[in-house]
Amino acid sequence: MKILLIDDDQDLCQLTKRVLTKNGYDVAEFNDGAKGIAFASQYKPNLILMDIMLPGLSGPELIASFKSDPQFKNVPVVFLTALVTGEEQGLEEEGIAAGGVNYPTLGKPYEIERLLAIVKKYAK
Amino acid sequence: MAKEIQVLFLDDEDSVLNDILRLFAQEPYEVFTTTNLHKAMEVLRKEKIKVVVSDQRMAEIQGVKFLQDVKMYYPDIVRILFATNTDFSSAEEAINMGEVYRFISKPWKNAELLSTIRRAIEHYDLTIRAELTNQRLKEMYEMQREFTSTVSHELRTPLASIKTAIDLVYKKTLGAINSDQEEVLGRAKRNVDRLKRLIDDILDLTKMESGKLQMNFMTNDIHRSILEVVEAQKDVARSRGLYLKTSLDAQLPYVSFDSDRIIQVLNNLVGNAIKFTKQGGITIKTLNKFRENFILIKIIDTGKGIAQEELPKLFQKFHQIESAHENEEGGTGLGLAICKEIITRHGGEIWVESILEKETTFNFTLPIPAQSKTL
Repeated sequence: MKILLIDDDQDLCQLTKRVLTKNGYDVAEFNDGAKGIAFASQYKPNLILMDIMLPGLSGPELIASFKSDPQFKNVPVVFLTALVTGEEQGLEEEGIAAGGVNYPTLGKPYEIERLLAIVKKYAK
Repeated sequence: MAKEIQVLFLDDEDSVLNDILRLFAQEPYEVFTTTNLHKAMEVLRKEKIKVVVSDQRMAEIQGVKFLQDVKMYYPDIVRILFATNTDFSSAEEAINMGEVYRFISKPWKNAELLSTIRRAIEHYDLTIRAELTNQRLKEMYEMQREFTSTVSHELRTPLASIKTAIDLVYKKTLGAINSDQEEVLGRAKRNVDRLKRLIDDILDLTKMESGKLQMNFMTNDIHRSILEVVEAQKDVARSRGLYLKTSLDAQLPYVSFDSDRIIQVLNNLVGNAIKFTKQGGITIKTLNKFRENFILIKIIDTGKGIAQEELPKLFQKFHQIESAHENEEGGTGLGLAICKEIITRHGGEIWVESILEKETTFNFTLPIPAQSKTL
């Protein structure tokens, strides 16, 4: 099971990768969203786990670009966020409209159990 | 430097206006006088007038009517009516209706007129200053709110890495740890989780206090929310050897509430009750107080109770009763303040009753909407 992980926070990105790899997932992690999405066509992930608020291209823009490739039509995109200012709601809605998973966003800090439950549910 | 025009007199007798100009010549501000209504309106538009004095009986317009117009367009200007004794009752009425600040009887005494105008100018200055202060306070409050949400976001990012790192090791995902390491990490974990709750609570409360939190009101059955909370908390209660039961009023009408928020309140109150009860248990009770137009929800525990002098302070922010610190889980001190905000936003009330070493009851009410009273 392959997960493409995109988070500009390097520390959390590495730690999340460890959580996932220790639980048997194959993980490709990127701090840069555009590079991550570009890698998808060769990596062929089963799931994308991404921070919705990224520098450069926004989360919804990245999803739109990823979903424009027909082979990824059924690959779920799950969001992560540390935003709590209300700004994240707009981003979530845009992200869902762009093809992201309509599931409560995983807030940072997250519980490992919850991360694993979401990944287990969607990575197919 | 020319003196600023601060006072406007409107009267249809030139002789009156000439007397006034002479009388006010020595004052530190300029007085403008006119017999013409349009001229008066023009001056109001162009100058920073603080006080308007108008005669009641004029050919063009009644003084009170003119001052009503002034109030509509320039609500901050202090309005004074000149009235002869035959007009006193209409002048009094105008004052009572808030159209006019004072009236001055005609013929006037010079000293009295001067001091009335001085006081009116002072009144204007104070009102404007109060408004500016108020405005400034609102801006500061808004800045503080923005600051709080930004800070809690900024705190969350590093905290996320700390929490995941601790959890990874503590949950032995990276391999076995010895009992000393487990104990030390357990302490770190509990405190990181507490910090997370604290950040969440501060943000929640800030949103609520500033009215930024959208409530999602729906007419619903409170019993469903109660049963959901019982389901979520029953294992915790059982693991401590406590009962968690309900006593629900079958005749309870549906009321309008935000179910996520009411569940938050119930979880908080039931969670507290479990924390502070060593034996016995917790009962959630509902009562239909339709005569008083509300439903009443009681969370009753058989715990250690709360001293009378502590009761009023319980809903204050960061107020924790002494024994709360002994508890391993550690509250944030904001839970009950949040509950109070939520219930207040619902138009209900929340309060607590307690008998030391015997029981504590948290009560809250939710108003019954008019149409569901008969249900």
